Amino acid sequence: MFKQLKAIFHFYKGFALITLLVTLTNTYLIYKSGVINSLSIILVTKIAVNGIIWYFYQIFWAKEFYFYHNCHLGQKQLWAGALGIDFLIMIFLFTIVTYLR
Amino acid sequence: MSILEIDSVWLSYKLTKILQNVYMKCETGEVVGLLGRNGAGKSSLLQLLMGFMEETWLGTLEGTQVGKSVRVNEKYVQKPFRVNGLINYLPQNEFIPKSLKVKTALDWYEVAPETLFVDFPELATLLSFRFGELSGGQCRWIETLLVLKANTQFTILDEPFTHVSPLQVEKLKQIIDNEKKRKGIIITDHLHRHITEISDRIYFIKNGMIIPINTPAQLGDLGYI
Repeated sequence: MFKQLKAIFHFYKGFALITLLVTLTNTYLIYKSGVINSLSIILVTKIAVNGIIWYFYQIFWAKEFYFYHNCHLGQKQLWAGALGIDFLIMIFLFTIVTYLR
Repeated sequence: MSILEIDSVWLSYKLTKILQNVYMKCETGEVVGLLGRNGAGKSSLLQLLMGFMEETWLGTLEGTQVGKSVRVNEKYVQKPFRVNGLINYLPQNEFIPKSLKVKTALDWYEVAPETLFVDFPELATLLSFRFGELSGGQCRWIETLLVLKANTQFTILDEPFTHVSPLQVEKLKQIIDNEKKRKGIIITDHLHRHITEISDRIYFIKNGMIIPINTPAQLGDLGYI
């Protein structure tokens, strides 16, 4: 179980830089305009960026999924785990910036 | 002893029938060879055996009872790759993420580094390297050893002899022969002589059907060699 979590985290690290940049930009947007005013932009950018990342993985790095399959992880588990980590980081940053505003 | 079976599998893509009512079996302690021309459906069959196909297949599995095609010791297993210690897979191409260190991959696959160093002391120097820093040959060699040495009941090798030097092919055949004492191995490759040499049982796929091969001459009769 612990090794599977490490494998999910490693999978997330492969695209973390891009999603974290988007999250930080959105955090700045919340700091400037508030959650309500930024919500639609946040949703659109997150869904679009995650969609592009998913597409690129299917095209260019699909073979790597076999490595994770040998760790008993399916694609659904990998994506759910990685996007779950991303979501938690986003909520954490949004909460902090809302308090700071 | 464990028995892995795949039964009543149908697979088609658009109008092309790839597999028709296929049955195949592998027991622990044996090497099963799978031969067939390009596009015959070997890799598809192996992917079905692993349980990958339902996630990625764009064609139809009509006729196949999804989740009821793979049996281990007469019990259906919906996604064999999700079962701890049951089965692992070496795909045709390099598959370990380039950013991963060799020692991390060994750890995650639960392979003790010492088990590799006994036969290949040169690998000890590569432990701290990332896969992206290795040559294509080194990468493939480590991947193959990792999958073979991992503690699973069954191992599937898709073209393990491709991109491997002749000397390493002989070494690999010895390792496969040694590893079959504790696991069942299903192997496919176009280098059919190696397959016929190391396999205890051979299947040939033609026109979507699977044909058990009893003598190498049969491969000639079937138009393969």
